[in-house]
Amino acid sequence: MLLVLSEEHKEHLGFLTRLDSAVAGELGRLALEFLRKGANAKVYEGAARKLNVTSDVVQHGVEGLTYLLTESSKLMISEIDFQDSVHVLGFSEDLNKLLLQLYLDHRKEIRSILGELTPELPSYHSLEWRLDVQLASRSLRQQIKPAVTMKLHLNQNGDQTTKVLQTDPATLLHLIQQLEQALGEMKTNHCRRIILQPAFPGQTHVPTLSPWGGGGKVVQVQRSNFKEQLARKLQVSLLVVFQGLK
Amino acid sequence: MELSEYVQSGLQPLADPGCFSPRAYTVLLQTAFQSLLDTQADQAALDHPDLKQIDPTVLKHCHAAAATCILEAGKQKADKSAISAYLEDCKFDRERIEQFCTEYQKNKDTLEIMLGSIGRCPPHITDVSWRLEYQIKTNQLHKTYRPAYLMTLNVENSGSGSHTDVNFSCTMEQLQDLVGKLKDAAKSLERATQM
Repeated sequence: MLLVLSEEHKEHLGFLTRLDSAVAGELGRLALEFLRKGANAKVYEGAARKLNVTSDVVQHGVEGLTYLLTESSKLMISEIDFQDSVHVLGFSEDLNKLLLQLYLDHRKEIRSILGELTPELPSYHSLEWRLDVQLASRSLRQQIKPAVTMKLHLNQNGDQTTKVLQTDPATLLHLIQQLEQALGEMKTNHCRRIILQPAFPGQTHVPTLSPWGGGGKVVQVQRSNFKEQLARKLQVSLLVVFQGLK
Repeated sequence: MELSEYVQSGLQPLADPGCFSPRAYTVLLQTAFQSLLDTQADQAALDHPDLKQIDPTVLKHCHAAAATCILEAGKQKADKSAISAYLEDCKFDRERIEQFCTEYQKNKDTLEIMLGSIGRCPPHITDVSWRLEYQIKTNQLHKTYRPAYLMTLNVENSGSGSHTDVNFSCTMEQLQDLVGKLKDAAKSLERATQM
């Protein structure tokens, strides 16, 4: 696929023909800096004075080069297509080679920068969990109510948010079953045919049990002389659930 | 069981056959349990014909006292002897105590469930929905070819009953990590049953 450059774009890039390779290389570096960190007016002014042109011309040149590189990276055009697109500008052979090298060396980086612009949901970072047993509340004494409390860490736009959530044993098992089904989908022939990626590596997980403060009358299981009583009471509620799902 | 002056003075007319006939006592007892446990309880439950002869203020006081007594018994998980002892102190006769205890026994489990559900807890996960998608291109980047899972955790907030779902995306590796951690939690639960 060929890039179609507008007249204005060609005009801005026309500036490059008047430069020798070293300076053109420098301009290429400026274009990449522009992508990574934004415009730097002082540097453009300095370059403009050295080359005896206005800083506007330098800026347009840099922007034009940047746009050329981002469009090429976005569409992931092949070497030949890139060369053909640039040929239209009537640059020297050296300059063409320089631009091609610039494109090939940096297109992965440019694509990852462009990738950050996609609209995104918060993404999963990690999960901490904790097993709790509610013993009493203001409205009911002498309870034994097991629950799993979780802290879900999510990333969004570089910020990390955490959500504290809770679930009961039956729902936990249901969640595991549903999510394993989801994972299983990736291994079906249908998905394998469409998703053009090599097999995913296995993953070993280190369980992390991290106690952290919680509110209310919830007590973490600690004393051993309580364990037998708890085990007996839990057996009734939990074993029924496990047997039901096996 | 210890209850306030207000409750004790409300229970006194209930012990008195002159104030509450046996039929009226039965009806009031049933009404008290119903108004606590039946979510669709009629607001005009006290408008029963058998309760017409009793002064409305007294009736309301007795109903409130009976309901409080029931709730306190439920909260403390009181057994029959504790309830009987307390009602005896309020001068209830054998028959009325028996009736109260029978009615309480009948409704004990429902009462406990209701009391246990009151209270605050972190948002409770009830279900999960997932979607496997394959991204082909965005307006900034073509040929991305990236599979991802979109997860929705259906969450209920205690009390308000509102649903604020948690949405997030993850890669296959991240989902494997998540499932691994949840399985560890489940194994830990299973171990707790064998303590």
